[in-house]
Amino acid sequence: MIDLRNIKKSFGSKVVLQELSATMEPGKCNLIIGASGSGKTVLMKCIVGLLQPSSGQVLYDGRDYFSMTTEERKEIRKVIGMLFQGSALFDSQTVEQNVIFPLDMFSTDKYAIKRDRVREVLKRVNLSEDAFKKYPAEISGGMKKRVALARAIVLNPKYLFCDEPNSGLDPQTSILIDKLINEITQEYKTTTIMNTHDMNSVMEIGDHIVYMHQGEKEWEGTNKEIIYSENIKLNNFIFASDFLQDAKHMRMIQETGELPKGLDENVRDALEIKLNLDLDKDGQIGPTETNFKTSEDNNPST
Amino acid sequence: MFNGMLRMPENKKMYWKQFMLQCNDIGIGSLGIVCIISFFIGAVSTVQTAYQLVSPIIPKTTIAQIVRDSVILEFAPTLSCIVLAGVVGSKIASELGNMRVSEQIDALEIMGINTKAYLILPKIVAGVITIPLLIILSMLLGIWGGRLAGSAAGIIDPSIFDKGLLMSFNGYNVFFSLIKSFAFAFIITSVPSFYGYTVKGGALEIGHASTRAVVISCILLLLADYVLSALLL
Repeated sequence: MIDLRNIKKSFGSKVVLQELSATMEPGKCNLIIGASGSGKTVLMKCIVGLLQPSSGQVLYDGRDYFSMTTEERKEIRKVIGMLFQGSALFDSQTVEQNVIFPLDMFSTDKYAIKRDRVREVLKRVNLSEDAFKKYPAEISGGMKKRVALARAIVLNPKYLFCDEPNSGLDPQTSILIDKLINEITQEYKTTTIMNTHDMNSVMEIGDHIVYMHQGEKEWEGTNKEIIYSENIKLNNFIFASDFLQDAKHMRMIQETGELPKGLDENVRDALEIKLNLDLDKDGQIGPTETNFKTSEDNNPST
Repeated sequence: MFNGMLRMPENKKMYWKQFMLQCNDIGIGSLGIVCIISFFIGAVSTVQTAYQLVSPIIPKTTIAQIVRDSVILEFAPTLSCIVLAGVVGSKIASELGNMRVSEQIDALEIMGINTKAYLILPKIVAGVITIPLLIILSMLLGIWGGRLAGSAAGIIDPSIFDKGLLMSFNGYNVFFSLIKSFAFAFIITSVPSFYGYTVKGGALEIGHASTRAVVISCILLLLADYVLSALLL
């Protein structure tokens, strides 16, 4: 389990993380969500030790990472796998060499065993054998992400970190990567921590979600609870997703007959146009009998 | 930076592999340019020395002596290393800079690898071993180039040139030249490693770091050349 206690991080006078505390639940997909610039990547870099927090603690099974000796930190890092936003594959090595690298460095197994393990994980991330001998420059963005994921899990990590794994991918490939991460989390029983602002990921695989806003933890819960959240900042953020927007709006209409208060003007306008609603200034649904106009309503002659 | 480099390697075999790779990159990779430069430096030295020695009382063997000593003492180590600072230095700085910017160094760190030891130390050790070897080759090729150019231009007969080469030969000059080449090799590999490893930003910053690494390396080379000459000669 990873516990974050009062993490604060500043770069000069700019405070990026403000007293953030959260618990990353073991064996689950923990998602850190938030708008660009909200401090997600900085938080993740603090958790894995690439950045040292200005104050606060990152506890791995109760032990503070930043109080550990160099050797203890190395041991922790051996059980960490990380999928970087840009994949971070080694340019000069083939796909197979990239994935075998951690094994070469830390395993004393014979080459044949290592090669079999590499092929196993590459097949697990749905890569065909044709790609094994290719260089990163010769494969697509989605394949790079899958190779990076294979490299991250080749040593059976206890913790899997994914920094915006869907960035730069088409929606279909994004869903595939999400599913893959979720399956790997369950198969390998890893504690997965994933940064994302993709709301599809939130609904698909978010067992535990931490929403960040301007360096602070604004909300924490599950993907079931997010639909019922009354947090205005979270609502404004997730309304960028059509799916959640519709789901949330449907619930509001059914249960209360109005939308959450405090929405941005442009979000309200977008909702009104998209769902053909007649809303007053407070978000109350107007006097029309049916809120969703049918095509017949719009075209009575038919 | 050096403090972090001197730690026990995670896997000696992988470090050895990395070292051999760097020996190939720095040593074999620079072989062509060093050969071309050395040959022509020797050739030009012979022609220009002969052009300046117009007095009939100075024996022709003096040309060979001047070419030999200038190639061994200065041209082979200093000029070759200035070129290598450009060739090897920019490669090291841009390679490490690109690895930093594309998070490859972070990926290694996450795996628990000491990146300074794994990425920088093999480069420095490989440079300190292969660059002096290149300098020895440069000395030989420079002298051979001078001999060939002297013969081809009808300036000096090869047998007279050979006789001149053996006259008043001081072995200390070769030793001094090798001392210089060790120091230069360290500068050529460590300065660009520092600039490349500490890059922040993107492609533009990699370019800036690469240029800065070459410029600073060249200045330090010339400074070290002067200091070593003043101290050891």
